[in-house]
Amino acid sequence: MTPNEWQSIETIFHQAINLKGAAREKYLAETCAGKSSLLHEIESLLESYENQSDFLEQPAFEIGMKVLENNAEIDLTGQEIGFYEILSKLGSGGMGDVYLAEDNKLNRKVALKFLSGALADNKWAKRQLVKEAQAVAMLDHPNICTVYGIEEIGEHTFIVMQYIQGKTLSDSIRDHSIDEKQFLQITQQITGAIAAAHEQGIIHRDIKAGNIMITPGGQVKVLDFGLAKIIKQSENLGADLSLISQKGLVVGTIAYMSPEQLRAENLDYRTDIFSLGTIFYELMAGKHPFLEKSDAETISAILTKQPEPIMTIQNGNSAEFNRLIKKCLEKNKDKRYQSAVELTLELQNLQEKSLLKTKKINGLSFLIASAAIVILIFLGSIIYQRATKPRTLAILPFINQTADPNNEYITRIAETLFNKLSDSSQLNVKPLTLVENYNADDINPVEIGKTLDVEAILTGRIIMRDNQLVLETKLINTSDGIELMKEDSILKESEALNIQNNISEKIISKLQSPLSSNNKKYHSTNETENPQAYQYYLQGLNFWKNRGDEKKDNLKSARDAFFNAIQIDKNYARAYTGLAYIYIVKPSVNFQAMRPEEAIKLAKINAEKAIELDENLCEAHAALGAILTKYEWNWTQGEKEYKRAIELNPDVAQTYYWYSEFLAVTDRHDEALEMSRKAQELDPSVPIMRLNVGRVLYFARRFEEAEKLLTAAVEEFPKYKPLKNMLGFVYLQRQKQAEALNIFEELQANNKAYTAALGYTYGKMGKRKQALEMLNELEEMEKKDDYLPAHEKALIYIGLGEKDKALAGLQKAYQVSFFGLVSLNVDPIYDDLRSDERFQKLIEHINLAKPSEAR
Amino acid sequence: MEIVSCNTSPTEITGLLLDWSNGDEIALEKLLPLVERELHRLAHYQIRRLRPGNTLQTTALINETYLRLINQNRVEWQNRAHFFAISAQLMRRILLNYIRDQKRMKRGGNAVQVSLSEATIMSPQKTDELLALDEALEKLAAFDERKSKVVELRFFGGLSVEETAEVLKISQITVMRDWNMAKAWLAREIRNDTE
Repeated sequence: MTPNEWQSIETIFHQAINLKGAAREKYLAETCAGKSSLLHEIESLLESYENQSDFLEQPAFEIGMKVLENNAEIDLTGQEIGFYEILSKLGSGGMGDVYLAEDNKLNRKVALKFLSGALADNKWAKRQLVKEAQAVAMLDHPNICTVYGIEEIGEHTFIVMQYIQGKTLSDSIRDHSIDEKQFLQITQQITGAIAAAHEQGIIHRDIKAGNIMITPGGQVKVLDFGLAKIIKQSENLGADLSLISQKGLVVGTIAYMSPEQLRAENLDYRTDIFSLGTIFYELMAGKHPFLEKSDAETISAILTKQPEPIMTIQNGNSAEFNRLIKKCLEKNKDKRYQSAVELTLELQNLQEKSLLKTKKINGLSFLIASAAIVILIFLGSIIYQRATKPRTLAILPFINQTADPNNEYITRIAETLFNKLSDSSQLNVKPLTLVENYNADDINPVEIGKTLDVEAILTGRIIMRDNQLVLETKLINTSDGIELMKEDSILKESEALNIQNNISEKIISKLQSPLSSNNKKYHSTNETENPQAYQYYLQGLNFWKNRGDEKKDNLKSARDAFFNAIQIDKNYARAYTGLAYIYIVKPSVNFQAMRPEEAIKLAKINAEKAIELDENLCEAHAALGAILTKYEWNWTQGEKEYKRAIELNPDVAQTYYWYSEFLAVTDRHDEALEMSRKAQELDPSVPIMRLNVGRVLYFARRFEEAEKLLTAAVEEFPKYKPLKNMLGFVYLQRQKQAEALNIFEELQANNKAYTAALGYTYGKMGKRKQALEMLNELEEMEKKDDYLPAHEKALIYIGLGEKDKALAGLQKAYQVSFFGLVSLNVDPIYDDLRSDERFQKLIEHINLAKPSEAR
Repeated sequence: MEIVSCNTSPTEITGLLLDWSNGDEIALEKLLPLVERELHRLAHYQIRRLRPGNTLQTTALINETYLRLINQNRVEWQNRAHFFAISAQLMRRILLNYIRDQKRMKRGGNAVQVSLSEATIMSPQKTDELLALDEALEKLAAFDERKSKVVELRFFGGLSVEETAEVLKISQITVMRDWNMAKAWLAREIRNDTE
């Protein structure tokens, strides 16, 4: 039957229905004349129509209702599922039910999120639940409800998560008015949590007062990532690939939605900033900024209305708060804070301006800080009692001899002691990097004294003694190996009061020492007085030191720790420097982690903040130098910062490392070599310092020496791949293509980060097909979640001799301030492009152009 | 609130509805279980409240479900039509799934486990009739989708002629004509099939 036939059947049928008896017959006979099958069809339909008395007239709903009624709602309370005993239902949502349960294995209360009744068997819903668990599991943050795991037991699939007691933020808003201090406490925690999520590429999309819990202790926990989306890094900047915006999908809770969310536009992180603004307003004003009687009016208000300024703020400067909230609530996302981190910094600013300051004393951290002070005073007193000229001291690495690796960070006290003591003009403390390889348990003080040329060494061990955590420190005279001091500091919270008294007594007893009168000297402005901040700082240092561990994202953990330190002590200059270092190295360590332009913005904020707090902080100036040279190509200003850093402390390897890179890329090769060697001498155990010397030689086109040096270094540090990578590039210049290929093939097989290097080599060797395969691999990487610098593809195009594409890639890299561009002028890789006008333009852009450049 | 935990939030629904209304069929697959759960809950609640002799109106129920799922704190979804269409489709699915489950259980020898109330929800005759209707509707949809929709909305969704017209954006006269024609065709189809 064709549509036309069906059409005519229908027309005739309807005409015929209205006719009766003979009239109908006549009509049918005329209309269907000569078409017997048509006539038959119509007649059979009419017959069917006449005979079906009440067919379909009784809707099926009644039966449907009964079916529905029979499948009553499920409540799991009282059941035991695996080790979990379900105690009560905490709440229900669109997709899941949350229960309070006892975990009988670990003897703790947990919250379990099940898919609700009808969804329990739904594969899609299960996938969503797993996705939610995975998203939150990525977020290890004190202000995000922790996911312990996801279980599949029998027919049940459920998320096991932290059980949080407390009130939701919406209850708090209803119950109490809030003052400036509380406001800052709460909002910083929320923003910190959201910043952590964003850093993992997760947009929450459903931030609202009801999704935020406050524990009785005042800790904030952000809940419910059920709507969160993990977005690709490449979509951060608004490419239209976002999953969320497909076909105008709108999810969220209307009153907290951003204008773009309501319009079902592409969403990026800034939608969360708007929602945060809504919460902040509510928190401060006690009422919602946009909520109206109907949804239509609410939507209209979000899209068009400016919320009324908040008139009264307890103890606060309303202008400042209004400005902050207004900026979050900008309709145009380009005018809002551009990231949660930026918002956090702003909140910190406000806190600084606020007169109210809280100091929390945490038992353990207080003791660690106290221990550090006691050691310092002991040290000072003993050394200074005889001091007439500067004394030399080496602090050997403190070691953790407890079974718990979580105590590792306490060993970083050594570094903070170094920082304090090296500020003194009467004491010459050897850089820690020089002594890193000494094992405090296996030392000959006299020998070390000779090697390091020091008069005394300080050793430290964290041990467990009688169930107590003890930091045992010894000061040893290197001329005769005699112990000048032995100090045990017990680091246990439960003993807090005793130890506090104990330590106080010791401090008092030492007040007569010559040091006491000079005590202020040791209190440099870059330190903290807050024990908890100090504890976080130590943890950050520890993670930073171990950032080379490929298995863990220690850089991120370090970031969090420094960040926490700052949250507690806004004036902790060293912690800001720690953050600056992290953001400087981040784009080069991990492409996916962060785009250079974002990272560098943050690095700069932190470095400048550190300098503002302590103009004499060497590391902060070094960091600023690195930012200015590596990313902003402001060579003159950058060099000033490096020089200042060296002037402030001539023993910091990292400064020389960055400075040498700067000198090399600006064609000052001899100086560069000197500086790179200095860095290596100061930090001999770190392979990157060796690599750096090799690279400086490579840039100076002293390939033979570079090869020799790097070959030796590779033997010494076989596990450190970047050394091999560098050697590969040197081989290429030495026309040892087979050797280079060997290296890159091996590297790339284990780590895709070397794909461009291998592709370049293939291209150079005329293996076009393989080179294109590598290009393909890069493009595959690009399609996934990874951010890929344009520079990588350009490298392969250079190998292939495709200048136009290579140059286009470099230009793109320039637009995102890609750090790799600093070497444009000196890296032999670019020699083939050098004569091109566009290449020279790029060189001009990064301020490296010279009057005559002939190579 | 005394004890709170990581709560769930029922916010996917609006988005999925919009998605589906934009032609994404997968969204419907995701949506159905969500709506079913809510319908379910409400039906259960309402039936308990009903005074003897009163019957529950499907439209009222769906309306309330819609209000609960969509209208509270959520985007005003301009067109309720899609929701009603979904509910009708859902009801059809609930019934047919139920029937198939029952049949499967009986085949598997599990009949004893079926409680009395469940067993008497539908007569075997009614059961077969619904299965046949479902099949016939599929056939009809193959060449005249609109007519099958009209039947689905009116029979499974319990919608009036007026509401059906609104959902499908056609005139009420067209709804009536489609309804009559579809009934004639379906009745014949089912009869032919069973004979």
